[in-house]
Amino acid sequence: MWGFFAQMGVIQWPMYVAAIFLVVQIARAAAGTRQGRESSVSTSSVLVWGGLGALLGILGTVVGFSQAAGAIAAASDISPPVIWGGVRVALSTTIFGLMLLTLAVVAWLALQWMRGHPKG
Amino acid sequence: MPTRDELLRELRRRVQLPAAEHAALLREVRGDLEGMVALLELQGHARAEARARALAALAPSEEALAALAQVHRPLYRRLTAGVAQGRLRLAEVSAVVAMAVLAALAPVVPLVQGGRLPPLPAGTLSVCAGLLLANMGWYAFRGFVRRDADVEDLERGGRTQAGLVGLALSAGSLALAVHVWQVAGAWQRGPGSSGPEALRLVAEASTATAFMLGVAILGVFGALALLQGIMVARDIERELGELVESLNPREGRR
Repeated sequence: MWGFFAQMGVIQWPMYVAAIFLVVQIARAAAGTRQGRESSVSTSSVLVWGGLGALLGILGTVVGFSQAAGAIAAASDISPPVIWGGVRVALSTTIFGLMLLTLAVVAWLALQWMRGHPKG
Repeated sequence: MPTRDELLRELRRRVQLPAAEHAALLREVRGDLEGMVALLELQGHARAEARARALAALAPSEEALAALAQVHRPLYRRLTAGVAQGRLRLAEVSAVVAMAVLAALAPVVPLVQGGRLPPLPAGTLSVCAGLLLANMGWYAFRGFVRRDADVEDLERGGRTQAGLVGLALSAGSLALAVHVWQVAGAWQRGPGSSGPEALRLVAEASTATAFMLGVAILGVFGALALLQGIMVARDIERELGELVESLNPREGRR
């Protein structure tokens, strides 16, 4: 599991920051909705952080593919296992980014449902 | 002096009708009111007095309102009047969900069995398509059959629809990326892929992407239909508010 995150390269750090802000914003929006102090800005910002995570992930993948192609060309080693290993490493940031975006969308839908079905 | 919204709420409480039927009823009452006011003015009454007399004469009793509401009640509500609300609601939700699940699985099962769509993206997109169809089906049922969806309900449905389109795109992309990642891992550890195997992966990814975009486009069409419903409902609510204000007994004394 840790190996999956370790291979993401330098882009993982801003993604971790986006993930932390996403989780904090979900908690704040949920608490505000429960107390009847919901704000559409606070709910929408959940989607913003999720979208940022996805964009960072795609950026990481594009940079990763570029670096992998350069490394493979420099080493003159284009065996399929090396290529697919590079694809796997490059895809890891996209996967993490899409996980953040999916979490953000699910949280947004849940917050919308909470707004439409207040307690009491 | 009661506001337009307070009058509207009071009228809604007394006469349980869909907004369109409500507006038609009030248009009729206003036509009768204007006719009677014109007649009383011709007889020499001042405008304010003529209006007050006409309103007093035309104001329906609670029994008359109940009878009117019964006559104009939507067919579905008349047919299900004797059914317990809890059981009826459960049956309605179950029917919508069942239809959505069947509609979502119908195109997916043959694609997965034919090996053209990998199971992980297929399962994820089926769930998203089912949720989208269930949302669209529920609000279409409430708008056209049960006739009890107001502007706020439809706006909530529209927001949910937009969110579910986003979910289909993000979860579908995630499932596809994970599938490619898993296959790449197997080829990295094993003897590596052959040309046909790599092409098969490209074909699977293309089919999954096309299916995901199809689900998203279906969702967008549903959102557009809900948007149309919202615009129509807003127009009717606005007319209803104007009609209620024009029938406000205190307006003649301004």
